[in-house]
Amino acid sequence: MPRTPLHDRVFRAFLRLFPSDFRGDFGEQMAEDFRDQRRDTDGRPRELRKLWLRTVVDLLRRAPREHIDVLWRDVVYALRILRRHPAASATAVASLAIGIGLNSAVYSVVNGVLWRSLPFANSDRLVAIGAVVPSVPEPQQIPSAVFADLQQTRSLDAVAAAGLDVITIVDPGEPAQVGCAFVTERFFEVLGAKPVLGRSFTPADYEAAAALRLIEDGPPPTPPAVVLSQRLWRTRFGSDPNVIGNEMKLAGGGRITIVGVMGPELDSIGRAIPGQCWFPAVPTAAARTALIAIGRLAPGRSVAEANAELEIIGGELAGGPFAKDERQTLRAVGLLERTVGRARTQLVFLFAAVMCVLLVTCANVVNLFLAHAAGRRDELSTRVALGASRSRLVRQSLTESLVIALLGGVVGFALAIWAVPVLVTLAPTEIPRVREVHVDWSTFGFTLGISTTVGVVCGLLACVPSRSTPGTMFGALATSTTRGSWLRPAVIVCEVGLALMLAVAASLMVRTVRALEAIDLGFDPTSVVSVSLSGYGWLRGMPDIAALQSTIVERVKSLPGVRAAGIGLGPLEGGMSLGGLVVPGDPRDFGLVRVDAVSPGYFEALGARLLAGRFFESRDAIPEGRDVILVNQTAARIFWNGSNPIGKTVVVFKTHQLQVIGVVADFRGSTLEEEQGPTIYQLSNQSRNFLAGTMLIRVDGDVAALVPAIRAVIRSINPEQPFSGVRPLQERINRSMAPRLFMLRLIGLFSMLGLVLAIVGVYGVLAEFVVQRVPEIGVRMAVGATAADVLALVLGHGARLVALGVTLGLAGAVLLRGAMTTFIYGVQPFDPLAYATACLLLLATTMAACTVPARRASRLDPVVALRTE
Amino acid sequence: MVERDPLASLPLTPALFHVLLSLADGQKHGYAVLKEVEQRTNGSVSLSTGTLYGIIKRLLADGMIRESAAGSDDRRRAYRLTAFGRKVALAEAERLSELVMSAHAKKLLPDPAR
Repeated sequence: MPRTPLHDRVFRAFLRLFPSDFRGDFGEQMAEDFRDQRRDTDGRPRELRKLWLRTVVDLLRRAPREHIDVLWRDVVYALRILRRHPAASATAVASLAIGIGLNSAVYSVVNGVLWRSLPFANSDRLVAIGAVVPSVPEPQQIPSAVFADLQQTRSLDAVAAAGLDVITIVDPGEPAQVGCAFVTERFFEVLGAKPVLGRSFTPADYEAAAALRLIEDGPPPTPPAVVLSQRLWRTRFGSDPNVIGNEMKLAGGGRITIVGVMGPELDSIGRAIPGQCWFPAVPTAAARTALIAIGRLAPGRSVAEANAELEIIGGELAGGPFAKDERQTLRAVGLLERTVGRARTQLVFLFAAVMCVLLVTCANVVNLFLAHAAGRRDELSTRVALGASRSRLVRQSLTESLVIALLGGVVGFALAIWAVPVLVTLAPTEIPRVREVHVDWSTFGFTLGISTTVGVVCGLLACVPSRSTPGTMFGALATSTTRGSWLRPAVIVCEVGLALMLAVAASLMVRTVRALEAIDLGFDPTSVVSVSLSGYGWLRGMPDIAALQSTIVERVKSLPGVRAAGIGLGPLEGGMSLGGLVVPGDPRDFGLVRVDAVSPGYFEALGARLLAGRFFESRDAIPEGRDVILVNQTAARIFWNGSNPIGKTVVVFKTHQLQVIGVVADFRGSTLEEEQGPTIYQLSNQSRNFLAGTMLIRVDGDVAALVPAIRAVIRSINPEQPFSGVRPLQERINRSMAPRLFMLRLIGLFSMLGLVLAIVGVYGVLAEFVVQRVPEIGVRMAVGATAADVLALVLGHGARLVALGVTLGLAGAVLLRGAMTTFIYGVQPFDPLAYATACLLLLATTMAACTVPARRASRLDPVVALRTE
Repeated sequence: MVERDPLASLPLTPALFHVLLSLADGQKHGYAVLKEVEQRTNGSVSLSTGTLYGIIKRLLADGMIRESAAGSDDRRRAYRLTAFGRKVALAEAERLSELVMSAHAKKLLPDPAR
């Protein structure tokens, strides 16, 4: 046979662009016609080139249209099939909608918090520079003395810093405390943020600020200018477009000219650099203030290069006078990473869990497809007989499952639009940027992406069962003897395994929340409210804050309905700490010891448990009294090895002697999970270095009625004192629980869905098993098998599947147990009880689902059963 | 079978109409259609195989042409107009003719009589 000329072979290669049906119908003729056309050119190169050009352009234009044609026919056909199986189609679409919708919703949150770039130009080049010590994972603020050195780094284009503070605005509006930041020159420039109104700071502002010697010890003088954040402008100034040039009045009489308003983008880095307004500041080497530094990487430089430079500067820092730790060093991290912080692990875990739900859903849908195989066996055999090729049927199967998946995707996207705001509301405020999360184009893209993937995967899996006679979505030819009969049990085993892993995670979360609830707080939060008494106003022109505070406390105590009141930090808040505490006769260095400065009545208000000695009394509170302290249980144990500490002394600030008069039970640290550590309680008017500003009030009955009276007392003593109402102490506990509860709710929901889907899946497979075995069961019964034997046969099959799934799931859970360590508390990652609960739950429910088809099988009439053969 | 209305298929694309025209005077196979259209239009309409068989597929599906039993060798298949196809071609020709008449009446084209 003569060799086909190259031209014709190339033409035939181009024909492969067309759908196989079209090729089968017209391919030969097209090739013939092309050959004739080519002969007409008589081999003249110019003519030949023209022919080729025209033909190729035409083929490239036509082929996609033919594919669309086929696709359209398949889609119409698929929709007709769906209408013919409404129950199965609805089940498949609904379960995919839930799986896809949940994934899209969680994706929205994960993307909005972790991945969406910060709203600044080239934001990937922005870094935050912090001081790190090996023992503390979070970077700390840097001493302002180091700031000048940072300017010398060559890998950073520009460096700026912010010192955080709190001010009290008394006009416009009610007195209120507002977080603010004293920022160095180029702060806004580094970020690339421009004011939406007015201007940012000018060199003249910084000259004026330098003259004031801001960022110094002690109360700051009034800054020369202020730039407002979008949020403050909106909430406090009613978005007044003419705000520029107006004055903002601070407690103590300071007036600051408003020069600019920034856009909303600065609010989104609030976690890294808090502050609702900004003042100009010039850090001095002498200042002991801590700063948050930010920088912009020079073009072509990496974070690693910046860190290499920072390490050298940090080395000097470690030996210097500001070092907190010898191993302290400086480190730059991406500003986005710093903003996101620890939320990353939690969100990634949630994303993985919700992916598990999607996998379980897919497993169920594949099962559904396979289960409907038998019903369409005849139709497919007919199509094969009529000459439909395998690839044609695979294509049809893919189209059908894509139609299902995309329908599920559409419903799922609608579900996500509804669920995202719910998720955002449920999410603890600790997750940064979460309030900015919304459904956007990337959510749509993600939904489309996973819907398509799910469609393709399910469609292909549905084709697996038989190679000789291909199946389609509802038509995989899963007869009892097909080679693919392993697929459905395999899918179920995986499904049970995934469901078990979710159940283990949920079970561990339940145990965690139980453990948190069972924590001995050391106080009684019921009927206790807190009132913040801190603020700039206290520091300016108020010489004896402690005296003022005790006046307020005495007046509040005398209000009707108040059982006790006192001032301190309150539990579950960040604390003040003190180094260099000495126990006479003991050479040990106790490191940092927590300190609280409290007033008499504080422990009574808190409902603290007194273990030895007595609480503070009013007679202790006179400034001439002895300097007395209470210690917590841990301090008593560590300082005096458990012996009675009453009457013993400790020495602080080298010479200052403090005598112990009582021991109270431990509270918790700044969070519920944190141990409090050794703590000493000083009387607020005997403490010259510490000042606390939270008034705790134990009330009888209705708190709401007391609020105006408390406000009146506070205002009568300091008219500029911010008062933002009272907060139940329970709120602090709830806030501390919030991240875990959020995880528990979501993981709980996911595992519930996983469980339900697994039950449905196991039931389906076992029902199918019974249908296939009807003749066999008939024979068995005819030769003497009892109903119990049949029950055992079916249940045994179900039990094998479930047991295999559970084993697989257990293995998976054990392998992945490390992923849970960050979220659990008071329970081991391999907690036998949690694992056992999850296994039992899954075994019990799925086996219960097995009993339905098993009982049906055991009630079969052998005569009828045999007749079905 | 219900009589189909040829007007429902109008207007036809120029390429499709050319294929119908070229089959109007008898059956042809694909290559002959290509040649005939090209010659009749002095090369101004030149179909390629992809477009041609796309059109043939549609015409077959719509019942305007059918494969001719006679005159086909193993590889080549000839096509002929069906009665319906002829009606559609006629209807399209009349539609176009009316358009041209309108163009004359509006003096867009010179009067054919002159």
